[in-house]
Amino acid sequence: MEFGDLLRVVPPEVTTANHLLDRLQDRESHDVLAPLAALFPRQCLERGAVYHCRGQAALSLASALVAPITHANGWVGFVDVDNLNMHAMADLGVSLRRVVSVQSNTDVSDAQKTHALGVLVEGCDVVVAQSPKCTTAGARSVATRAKRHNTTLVLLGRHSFSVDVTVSARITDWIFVDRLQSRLLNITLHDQRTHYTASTNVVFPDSNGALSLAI
Amino acid sequence: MKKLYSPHSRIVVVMFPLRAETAHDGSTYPRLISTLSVLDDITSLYEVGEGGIFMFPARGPARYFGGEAVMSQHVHSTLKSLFPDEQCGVGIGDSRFVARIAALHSVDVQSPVCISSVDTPDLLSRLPVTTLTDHGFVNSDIVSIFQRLGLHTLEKIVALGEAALVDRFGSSGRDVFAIAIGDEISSFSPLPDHSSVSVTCDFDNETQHSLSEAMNNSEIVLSIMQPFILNFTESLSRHGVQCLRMRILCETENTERSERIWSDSRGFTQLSVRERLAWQLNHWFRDAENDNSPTSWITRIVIDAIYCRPFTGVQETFWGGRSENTERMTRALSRVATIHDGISITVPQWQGGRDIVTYKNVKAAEVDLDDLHNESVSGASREWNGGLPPPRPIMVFNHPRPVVVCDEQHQSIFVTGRHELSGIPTNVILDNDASWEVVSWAGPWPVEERWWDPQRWRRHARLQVLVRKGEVSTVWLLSIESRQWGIVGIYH
Repeated sequence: MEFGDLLRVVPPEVTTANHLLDRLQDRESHDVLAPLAALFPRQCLERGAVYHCRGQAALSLASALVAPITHANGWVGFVDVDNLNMHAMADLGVSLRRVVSVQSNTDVSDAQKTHALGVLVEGCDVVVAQSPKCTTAGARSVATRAKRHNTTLVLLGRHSFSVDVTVSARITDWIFVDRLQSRLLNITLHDQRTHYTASTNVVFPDSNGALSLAI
Repeated sequence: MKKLYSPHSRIVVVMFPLRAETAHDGSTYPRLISTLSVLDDITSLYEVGEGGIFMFPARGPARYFGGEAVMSQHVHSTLKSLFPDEQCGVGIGDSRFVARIAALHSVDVQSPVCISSVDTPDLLSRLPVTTLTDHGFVNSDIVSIFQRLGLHTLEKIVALGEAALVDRFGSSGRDVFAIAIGDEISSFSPLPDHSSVSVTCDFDNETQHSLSEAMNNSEIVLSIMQPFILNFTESLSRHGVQCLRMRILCETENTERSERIWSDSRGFTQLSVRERLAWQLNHWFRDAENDNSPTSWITRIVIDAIYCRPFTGVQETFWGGRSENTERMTRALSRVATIHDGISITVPQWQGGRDIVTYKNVKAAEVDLDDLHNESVSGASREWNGGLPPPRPIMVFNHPRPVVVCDEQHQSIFVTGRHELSGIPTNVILDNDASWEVVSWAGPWPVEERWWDPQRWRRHARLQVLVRKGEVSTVWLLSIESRQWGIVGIYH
């Protein structure tokens, strides 16, 4: 960070160096739900990083990851994520007043979709993109813009991006008593840069309707 | 009734269905462009309002075509030939309000409607006061007061007198009186009023000249204009006014001009100014069919506020204006919108109901992103009696994927009139070959919606099934309607 940039981000209420460091760290990360925090090496989602959510419950996982960001007034853009149930996202804790959905029809070329994705990462705090059809060069360009604008990119499905962190969600059990009550998920994180791997089991929804660690 | 007769103030209103509900199929923008091209051949200056309303002065075109009746018939038949399946209306009257009423009637009768100046007082005197809100954009609270006072027609409003209305409602009272006697609130003139705000961007300097070739790319022009648009909206804010009508003038080096008047009854915001400019530029650059496209690059763009009113509608947020990231988001969305007409940008809005889709998608351009915390805008999610219980499927389908639900004897099962399954489900057959074993199931849950309305009445039943195929297990929400099962939701 340049000195001029540093001066711009220092809020007037910052008085000490430690206070400043805390504030700068806040600017570089997004909080995640408490049950998932231990999974991440820095207990947070990194701004500017590229995450890939995969597995059977990838969409639910992505929604759970972005939920705290929407409550911190961050904007989340869902790009070409089809058939998304907003009510289920609200159940996962997403504040829908901070959600924007961008959908392209078949007339839009892949290059225009890449362009739109690149513009969107300059505006959103997090962008969740379903199977973005970018060329390798286009993907690199979008990732660079995301890093420059401190935007977190969460990918679903197939893509040509160079991913920083892969998070997999596998449903290990369905709790079906009279009707569907809950499901158990095994979530595995792998950081491609440091080869850090961690895993946890969570249940959603628990008795309070929230995501919690499986006992 | 007093009547302000002015032969120069006759207005043509063209009403065409470009409303938000037709926007989801992506056809709205091409229709707008086609309509603008038709109007380009008829008049040099017109005003584009909300919801597919176009206005222009009748005098010039009527002289050219040989009278108002011929001209209106020409506009109507041209639009009908372009969009034979759509309903459009063309109305002519002494004021915008009267012309709008005429255009509305024209949609019903499927032919142009001209209301002569002689008939106007009689028409106005009979109109109900509710038309002031619907077509005159008068505050509904004022109209509500009229109704409670027993003033149900415009004739009774005029009988009160202008002075009494101004005493009670201030400048709004003056507007109401003007509309009720067939006068205009503001004249149809491209010239800004004396208190207006105006910004001019001259591209013809050394720095921008190097961009000359690129100056016929609307996105580049828009990005250069962004600070000027910001300056325009900030100037409006400093003057304490909101702009309801503005003129955008674009000029090229060869003195070609594109001039439009745009109106928005909610007041223009930074996003909507940018959107209107994008529409105007895209239409101009793509207008090769009429040879109206510019032959050189743009050298000047002027944005004038033509009609402003005191800014009383929206307050700044309590903690001091818009948040920085919302500004950033708004700018990005307006840029995304200019990339291709086939890109839709929406925000979710609660609509409730027992249907599986409880949120509808609303165009982001139609809402103030800053105001989404307001429940009247974004809606507040509530549990709906008889709705689907949590947990809810993360994916829902508006068009169910057909399946067959079978019992042990491989007979397809259905839901009886007593809301019971005709058999025990053991298999779900997808795409006629892939068979999934049913491990558990719940339901059927009958859903009966709008039983009081024979047109919209709907009856169906839902079934939640835990299915397995090899190592993979998943939960589907099935729905049966007219004895056809389909997957309407997937739990992941």
